[in-house]
Amino acid sequence: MQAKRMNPLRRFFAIRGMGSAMIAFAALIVIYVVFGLREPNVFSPVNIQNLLRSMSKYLIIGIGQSYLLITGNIDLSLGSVVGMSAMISATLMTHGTNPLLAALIALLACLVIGLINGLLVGKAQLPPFIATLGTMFTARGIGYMINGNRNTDAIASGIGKEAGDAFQNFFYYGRTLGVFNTFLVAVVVFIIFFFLLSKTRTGRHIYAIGSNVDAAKLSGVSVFATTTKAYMVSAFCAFVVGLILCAQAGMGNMEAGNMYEMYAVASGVIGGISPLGGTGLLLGTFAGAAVWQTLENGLNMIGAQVGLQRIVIGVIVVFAVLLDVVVRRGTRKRIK
Amino acid sequence: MKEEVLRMDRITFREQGTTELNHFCLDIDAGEIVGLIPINDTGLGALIRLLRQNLPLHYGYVYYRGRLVNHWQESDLTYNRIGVIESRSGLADDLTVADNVFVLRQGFKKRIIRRKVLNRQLEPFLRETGVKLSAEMYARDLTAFPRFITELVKAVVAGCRLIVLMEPASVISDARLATLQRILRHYAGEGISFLYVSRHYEEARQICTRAAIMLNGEIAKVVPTADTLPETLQCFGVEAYTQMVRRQERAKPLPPATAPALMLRDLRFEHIRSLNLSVAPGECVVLQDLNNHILRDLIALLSGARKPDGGQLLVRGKALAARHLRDVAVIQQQPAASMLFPDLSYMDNLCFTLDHRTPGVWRRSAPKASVRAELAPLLGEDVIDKPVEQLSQREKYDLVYTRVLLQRPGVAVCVQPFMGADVEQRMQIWKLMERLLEKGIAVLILAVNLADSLALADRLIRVLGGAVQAVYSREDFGSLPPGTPWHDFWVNPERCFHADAIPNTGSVAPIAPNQPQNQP
Repeated sequence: MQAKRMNPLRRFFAIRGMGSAMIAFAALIVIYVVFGLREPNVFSPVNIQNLLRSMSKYLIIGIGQSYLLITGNIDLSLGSVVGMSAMISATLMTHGTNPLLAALIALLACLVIGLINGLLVGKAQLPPFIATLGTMFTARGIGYMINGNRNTDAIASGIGKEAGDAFQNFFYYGRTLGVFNTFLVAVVVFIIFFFLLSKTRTGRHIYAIGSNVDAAKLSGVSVFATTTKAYMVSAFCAFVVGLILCAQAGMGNMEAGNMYEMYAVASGVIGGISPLGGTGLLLGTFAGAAVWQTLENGLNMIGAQVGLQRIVIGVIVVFAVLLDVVVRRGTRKRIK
Repeated sequence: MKEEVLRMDRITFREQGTTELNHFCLDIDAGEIVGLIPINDTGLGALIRLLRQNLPLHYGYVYYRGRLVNHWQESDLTYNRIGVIESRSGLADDLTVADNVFVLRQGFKKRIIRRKVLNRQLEPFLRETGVKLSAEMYARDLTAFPRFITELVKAVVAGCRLIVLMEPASVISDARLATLQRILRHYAGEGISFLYVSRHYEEARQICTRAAIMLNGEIAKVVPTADTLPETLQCFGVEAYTQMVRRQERAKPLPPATAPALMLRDLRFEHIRSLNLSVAPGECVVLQDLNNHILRDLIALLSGARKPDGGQLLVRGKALAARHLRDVAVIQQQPAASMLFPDLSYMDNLCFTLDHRTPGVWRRSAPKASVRAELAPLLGEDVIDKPVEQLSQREKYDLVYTRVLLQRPGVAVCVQPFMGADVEQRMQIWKLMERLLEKGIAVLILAVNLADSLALADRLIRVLGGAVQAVYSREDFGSLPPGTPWHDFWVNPERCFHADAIPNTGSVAPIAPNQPQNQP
């Protein structure tokens, strides 16, 4: 017997988190148009290209944090791991290491931090806020020490101009089919992790842990393994962003990635990822990162003060979380 | 003359457009223990809320300790000093027993807490109960019975003259229930009254002087507990259930002798010491933990969260390992609240434990579509498209048990499956479990009290102090103590109910939402 189906539009919006993601996209369009009307250069192809490139960092880092928010956890070490990734790869490159090998070593170091976070939160059951606060300082400390408490020289100087340029082109300055590579890298990362979250067993386990951890345990889900995987994803994303920042600056900056963990939370929650766990789509994170960057870009272009930019973004984050809480409370009331 | 503690006079109470209590009348005298037997859940939660707080009434009057505290013309939303002890803890886990009893009390004014003084003050109360309990113990470390006693003492210390006990037998073992009854009688002798809520008449009649039968938010009848079960309860919807049990019981064949689906051999872990049992495919075994110590340990072992200290836990002949976890399905008590993922869709919930059988279930849409097409007629077309939190209790139970059915485990472990369920739900759970058994899945019911579990059981294993105390086969159920639910059923297996005397033999009809009521 053919089962009777809901109409496709209702079905689309019935996907948990889709409503919030669509709201974020709508907000993005409104914000973009408003800024565009005020400053026509916002619509220029050059600006659009730059906008996409700049939002890539927030998108990738947001993906990592979204994985954790969905499990009901958080990763405060993200920004420091970004810095560590940038410093390790840059230091190695300035010492003549092949960029690929340097990136691999940086990746390993980042994944170790992810694994430690997973062990502390999943196995030792430390509160994620405290556990990742510890690794945040540790990773930043490693970033400082790796080059003797100073920024690195230009990466092109150590590995030769060609390799340095190739690295910078691949991650930041180069274009493919007219689009900056940075954005393409972000899109690839997005597609991989979107697939992982929505089409695999691990993805369902991530949602299940955030939704009802006890039921997940009783259904044979290893909370430790799943939490660790989420932290590894987050560490991987931080690693990629570290490489992007390294390519952008052409050197390793000890302060790279500072506050990025918070930008990541903001990208997620603006896009409807629930900080209470269990709900959200990476599509929302995409919209959230875009909203964030469009705001920054637009406020810059109309000449708003940096302070005002921060206030506007802060208000939007609080509003997004408030919306999530109110919607959840409303749903619970309706059910009662 | 007897002093009246509580009188609820013709209460009609509505919440969000639904009539929860309808011409509800109940009175309790000082020092009286009154049973309340809800046939269905309508109005039970509202009654408790209304006892605790003076909420706006549609009609009626509430008197507590001789004073009119709430009436339909004016409700001041104040709280009544009435204690309610539920199956879930009402204590602050990280505070000691003494802190919970004294500090978390209305009217406690001291600013500096002197632990020794509190402990000394608590001592006579604990001595009165005859229960050995340290005032310094943290609430988190208390097992069910000491926790219940702590809450009881807390209510007494707080000056509550009426204490509501919500289904104590669902958390307190049979062995401790007798101690609780002694304590209740002691306090009743001191003038404290109790409203003892129980799903089973047999349980209530052991302690109560009379029992009020509650149906669809009203008191259908108040009976002296000297009456026997069938004459008083059969008219209230239980008959259909009883007949169903009896019919099934007669038709039920014994499970064939095959290799056990679950076998515990000399199992040792924390409170479990040398536990031996086996369950065959398609067999239903009830494990009753007489002192409520091992259930948590057993669930931890069976769900694979912990490993045994010694002995063997074999499922389908193999030791339970991480890759075989789907061979065991654990259904927690009150699964509608504990076993679902509210943020996942219905289909995701349904297929959650299917991935070991159909690896592509999350990647491809075909497996889910096939499950949907197969099960939609059974579960309901519209139901599948609903968000999980909008499902009714019945639909949630269907979802949890159908998920287990799809999982096809060797054994389904049901933890207190009938806890808090009304007659209609019990019938449904019964049928859902039958469905598992029909598919050859072994069912192990973990219980503290027997409730309705016996009606389905092939064997009963009673565990005391972490080891098997006695094993009863179905023929031996009649030799269980008289207070056991359904005891009459097993003592007189051929006894028939008088169906002619029953006004409605169908299942209990719930009160319709927004049902028009007489205006006061």
